[in-house]
Amino acid sequence: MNPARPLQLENIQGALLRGYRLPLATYLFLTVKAPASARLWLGEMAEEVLTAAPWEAKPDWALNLYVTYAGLGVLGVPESALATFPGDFRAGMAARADLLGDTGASAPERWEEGIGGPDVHLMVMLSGADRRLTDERRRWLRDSLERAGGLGVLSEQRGGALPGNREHFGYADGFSQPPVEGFEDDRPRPGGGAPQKQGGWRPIRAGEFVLGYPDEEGVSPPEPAPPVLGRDGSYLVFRKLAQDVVGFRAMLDRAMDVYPFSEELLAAKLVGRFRDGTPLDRLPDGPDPSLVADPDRNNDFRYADDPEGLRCPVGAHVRRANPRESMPFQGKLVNRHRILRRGITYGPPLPEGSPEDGQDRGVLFMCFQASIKRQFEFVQAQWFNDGNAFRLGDDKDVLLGDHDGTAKTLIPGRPPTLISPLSRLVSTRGGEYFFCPSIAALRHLSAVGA
Amino acid sequence: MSNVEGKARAITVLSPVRPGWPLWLHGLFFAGTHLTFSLKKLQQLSFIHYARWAIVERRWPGGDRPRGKRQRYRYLLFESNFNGSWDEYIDAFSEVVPTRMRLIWGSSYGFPGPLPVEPFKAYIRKNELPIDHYYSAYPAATTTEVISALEVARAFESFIARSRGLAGADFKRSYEDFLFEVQHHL
Amino acid sequence: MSDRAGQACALTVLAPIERGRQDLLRTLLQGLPTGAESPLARAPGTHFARWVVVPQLVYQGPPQKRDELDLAYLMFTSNFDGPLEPYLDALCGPMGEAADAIWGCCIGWPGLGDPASAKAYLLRNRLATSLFVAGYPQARLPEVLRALELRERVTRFAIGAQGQGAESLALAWRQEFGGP
Repeated sequence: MNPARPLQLENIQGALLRGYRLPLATYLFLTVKAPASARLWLGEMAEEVLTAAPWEAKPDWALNLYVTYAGLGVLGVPESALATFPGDFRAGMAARADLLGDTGASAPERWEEGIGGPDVHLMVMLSGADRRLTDERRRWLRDSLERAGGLGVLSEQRGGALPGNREHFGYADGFSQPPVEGFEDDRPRPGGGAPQKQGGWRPIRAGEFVLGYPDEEGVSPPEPAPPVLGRDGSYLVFRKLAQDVVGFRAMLDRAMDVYPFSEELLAAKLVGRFRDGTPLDRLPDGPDPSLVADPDRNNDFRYADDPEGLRCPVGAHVRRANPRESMPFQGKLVNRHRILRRGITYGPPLPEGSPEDGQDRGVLFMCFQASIKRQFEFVQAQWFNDGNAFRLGDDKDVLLGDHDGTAKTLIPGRPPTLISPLSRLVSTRGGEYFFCPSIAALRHLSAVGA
Repeated sequence: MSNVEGKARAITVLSPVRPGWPLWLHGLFFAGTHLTFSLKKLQQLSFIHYARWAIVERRWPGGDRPRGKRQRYRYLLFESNFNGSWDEYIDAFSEVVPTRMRLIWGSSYGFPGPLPVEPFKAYIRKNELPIDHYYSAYPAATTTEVISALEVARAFESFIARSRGLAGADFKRSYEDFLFEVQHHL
Repeated sequence: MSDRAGQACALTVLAPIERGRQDLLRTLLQGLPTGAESPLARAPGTHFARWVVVPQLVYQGPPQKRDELDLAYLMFTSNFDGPLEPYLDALCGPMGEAADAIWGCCIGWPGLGDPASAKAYLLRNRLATSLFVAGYPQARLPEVLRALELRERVTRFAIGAQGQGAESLALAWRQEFGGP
């Protein structure tokens, strides 16, 4: 193992290592019209970016900046440096549609304009503690763009957390994030990070998420050149995912025709947690608010003693997303496929029992990783859109799978319940792969080609 | 030209063996076939339909002649039929059986070691032969699906025998036992 | 050293291609129909098989010294239901014209007009397998195909039969799978 240099927190963007848990976010997708002015603006904004450096008090707003492959080129990064970026990032999300299951209703031809594609060069993420402040900062941002000139806003996406950190299908979210080695208190809560053979958990190596540090293989993976551009950076996946809440509830209703227990348990079996967050692997019979409230217990499970999925089905959403010890070889097949999720919901909640209201709602999904292909794309393609890795044949994730209206899912038991047909509940509305440059890289970009 | 047929993927790798190693390689393979534990991990991964290693001796086959040209080195042939993505396959190999990989390819020129995996992938890519025609008799099935199907078939036969003459509630109970047994293979 | 794993058998044939016929052979192989129409589907017991033209050896850089073939080779590998003898008969029989056209590009192929010589040719150009691994070594091809189909049927049945009463369940089973 190489001696790891400490994480350069002043140089790493804050959103990468820290979920801000600010309730509002707005995302501006920018195109560069005049590179010189855009670079000046970028240099100005580099100084406004919230870094991962420790806070004295939690900030009530935050700004972060990301750049696409096309953006790097437009800003003036030379071909020799561009060629050092990996193929997944260079191709962009739309080009990976087949791999990601972005077909049919999710196909790039049907995506909203201005979230991805060759014209999107930069994305600004603005997070805020309340509406007034967020609006004020948004005006300030828009003014700065106006003043700078040379940049156009292609689209704006706005997200807002739902009460109780729920997502639109009604589940509490955000219990499980891998702790990053060397970042603040990196001692994992039980259930976080990588399971260890002798029991307990350890944080995931920083190089799985930040470029320039040893990863789970013990070496620093290749990083883009020059080092000032690549190091302390990361890759960001942004996806606007629309959720069909009425469709989800209808699926549960139909499934209740064949499921012999409660709707509450059914909903938990599909996801792996009860709606309040109680993990099935710990409490397979019913939710327990006191367990959910206890961070030492609410994520403390391994699936190791439930290979058949009788407590938590093998195909349950959270078990697919992170199979923990249910995969053979002590996590060796899992630890290189972790992501740092940073998403926020958008659109109004749909009250229980309401008919379709035609409103757009879902999640603005974001995740950071050192390799889009090995992490996000692998999880999406192998773990959500296929079942073979879990010996589930063709079965896909009930929530995220690109179901064609024939698929099935299994809730193991005596008797087992087979839910079929399944149709698509989450559709991709747009997305792109971004590079998350370090502060030094942003400054470098503001001067590149000048 | 395709190394893909449905869910099946093919790898063919030919790599030159350092002089002095081949005899030892033969011994290793001999041990491999007899010490099944060394293959158990590969089988546990359960994504390989069939795989083989073979040595091409310095004198290659000669068609209708006794022997072809004498080459400078012996060559190691690796042929595999698997499912899943190429990357996933190599990753799993490297992560799970690095020692075995080192033993087998350690004898080949240019082998960088199984870990880190990127140089190993580059090595395999460099030495992989493009396939001109690939055939699978069941392209829609992965290895685990074949194994599952065989389990279902076995349980099915035994259920048929067991449920003969049963009716009503007795049949239903027997059917539910069968279903409980095969649920993970459906 | 083993060409066998359970009942499964491995065959590797490496035959030199007539000078000047490499491109023709490549075109021929790449133009073959795939899947159930592949000539290999006519060799009973073939689970997986491939033809690979080996145009040249890959140089690894120093300290390896350059090592070059003077002829391109055709590699054939098959994973099939043993034993070998009847399988070779099938390769030299039902595969007929395709086999003749393909191996006809190799030096000294006697042609299927003389099946005994053709078999001997494949055997003479065969490589011994050092290590052979099979995921399901005992299952013969017909058994695999039957099982895959049965799995589909049982799955469909199980989905449809959920929640049925005892009598209608037994009836539905008999309709689908027969029995008393």
